[in-house]
Amino acid sequence: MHCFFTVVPHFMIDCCRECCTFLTMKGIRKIVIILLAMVISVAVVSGCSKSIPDEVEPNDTFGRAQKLEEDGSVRGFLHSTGDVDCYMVTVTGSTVLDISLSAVRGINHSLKIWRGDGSPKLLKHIDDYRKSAPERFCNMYADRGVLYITVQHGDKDPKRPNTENPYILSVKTRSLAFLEEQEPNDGRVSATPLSAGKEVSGYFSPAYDRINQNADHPYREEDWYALDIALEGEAPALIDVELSGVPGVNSVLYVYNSAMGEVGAYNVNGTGEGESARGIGVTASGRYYIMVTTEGYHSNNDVPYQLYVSQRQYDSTMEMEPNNSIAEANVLQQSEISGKIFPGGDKDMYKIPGPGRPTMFTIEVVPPDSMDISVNVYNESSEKIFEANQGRKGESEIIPNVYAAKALYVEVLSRRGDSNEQAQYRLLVSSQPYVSGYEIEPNGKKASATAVNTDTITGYTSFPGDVDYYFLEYPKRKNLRFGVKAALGSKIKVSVTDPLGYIIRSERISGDNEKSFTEMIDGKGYLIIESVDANYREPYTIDIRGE
Amino acid sequence: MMMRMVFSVFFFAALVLSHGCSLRQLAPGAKSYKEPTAYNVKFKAYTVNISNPEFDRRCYYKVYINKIQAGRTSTGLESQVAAFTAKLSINRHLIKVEKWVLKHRSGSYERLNNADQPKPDFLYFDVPENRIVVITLVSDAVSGRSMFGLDFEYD
Repeated sequence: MHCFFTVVPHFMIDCCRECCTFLTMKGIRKIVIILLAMVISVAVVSGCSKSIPDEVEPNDTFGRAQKLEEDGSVRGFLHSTGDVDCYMVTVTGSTVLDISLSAVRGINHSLKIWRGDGSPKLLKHIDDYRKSAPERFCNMYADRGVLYITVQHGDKDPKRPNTENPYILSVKTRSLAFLEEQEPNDGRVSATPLSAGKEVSGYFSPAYDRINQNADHPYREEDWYALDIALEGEAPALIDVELSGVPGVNSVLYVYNSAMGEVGAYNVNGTGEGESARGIGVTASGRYYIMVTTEGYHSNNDVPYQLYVSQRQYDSTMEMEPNNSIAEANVLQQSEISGKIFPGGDKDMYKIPGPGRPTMFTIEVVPPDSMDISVNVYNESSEKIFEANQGRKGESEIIPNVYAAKALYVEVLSRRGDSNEQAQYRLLVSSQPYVSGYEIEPNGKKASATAVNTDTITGYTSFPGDVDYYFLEYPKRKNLRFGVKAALGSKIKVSVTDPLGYIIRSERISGDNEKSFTEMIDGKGYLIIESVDANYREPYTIDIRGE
Repeated sequence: MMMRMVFSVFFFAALVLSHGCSLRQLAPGAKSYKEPTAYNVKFKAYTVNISNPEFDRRCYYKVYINKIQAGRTSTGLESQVAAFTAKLSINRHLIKVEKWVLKHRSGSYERLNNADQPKPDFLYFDVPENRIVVITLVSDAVSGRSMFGLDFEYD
């Protein structure tokens, strides 16, 4: 630059003299343009002339590491298949390093970053791409101290010496943002602190964590965050987690409790879109973990993601995730609770506390308009005793007559894999004391037939294809008159059997009509009610009179 | 004259009474008719000459009295006696039966084709006072023929 300022003025003075003497104003303009072009070209040449230092061999060990400025570059060669070039960066304060390694034609190289205090400890191993491609790790966090960066061959291609094409290792630094991921945060122990109500940013960089030896997800780059939650008066709370989308990245979000139990895995949206976890229940103060990763080892060194966690009060009319299993079931405290099927495949389990006496429950789930929902009911032994999936999209599922004296578990899910992040379903549970003569489901087989002790049977067509068995027993052969009344809009088939359960007679009754018929019972027999067209809300009734 | 008439009536009454008493005193070894109570007609049906238990199907008979369905017999194997009882008026009646057999595939009883129904499948019979009429239908599995028998029920 000094040279430029000393040479150009003489030249300009000479030109001006020439111009003043021989040229018109038009000529003067041309000369000025030429001069400006010269100034720019000289400036560019001057900039390029700032040379990148070459590596100084031998630099194969930490002890012989070549010093590299915080914002510096170095040019080097991988002279042999086992060549390792070691560089040392001294960090003066909390900073974020953007470390890049230029591509070398025909060579697969890799970067390793080591903490240099005491015995060097490997922090990161970056080998994302194959030969002839660059490597980059854009947000290595470092506090005051020494870092070692080693350049060596990668594992993805055969190692070959190269003395013709150099690599350029560059380190750029910037200050740490107030709330930013602190790499390496690849595990629970090194998780970056996170607070509810405050947004933190991070990068999907690098694509692979070559140190990660997790058998399920080897080499997966993971960003871990630690969320400390203090509940007021230990009242349960709900947290929502939002992860923004990043171009070219299919992100995945995990939430873990303090015992490292997986609360949920969220990978609903595709590449470039974010993920969210809503309504995660927190019942105890403590440290929770959020892990952000990608599906398919994607990376983006230029656009960060934002991670936001909010906390809200728990209301007993809302579900509390995780409630995907009987062990995690939300206890119903009122007759209604609402929840969301999200993400796809989500299952919500609720516990109906045991009433302590024989009770008939009616269970109804009202889904959002956009969702086809299903319901399963389990007893205390985790045996499925009911399932309902008769309604279409937006239609309720009803199980009208669940008999129980002990606790029940109600599972809400979508068999079609529907999910809705915004809209809620409603689970409604009503009950009444059991009255003799009511059918006791499940009674779909002879072995589980409801014994008839009264003159009137009341039952429901609980699901499509529902079959209800009733057992009749008398001291001797008896001629009986059956008065059958089907629920409005429904159609049922009523059959009377011999003592072995073989059908002797069948009658079809539809609508709100009543039909009577007489049939002999040979001491014992079964009454079989089959649903042809169901009515899940209204019961059918059968009066039984001796003749 | 009056005395003679009174004597004659008394004598006739005594004769009738003594005759009635003699009816109740059966000879040793003779059977007595069972008095009707809940029923006065009993229908029984079974099949003979079934060569293989595989062919001994579970069945029952629908019973029509005077062309109105009156009920059905108990269920059982064809070789077993299936019975039906009814209380009918003292009169001449028509009984017609219809045989139904179990189809294991459907789990229900189905009416036999006309060709396989008992032949004959009807009988006219009288129901007298103080008697229980027993109608027995015996079918022969080999010949396919049936035969009605008529008797009274004894104590």
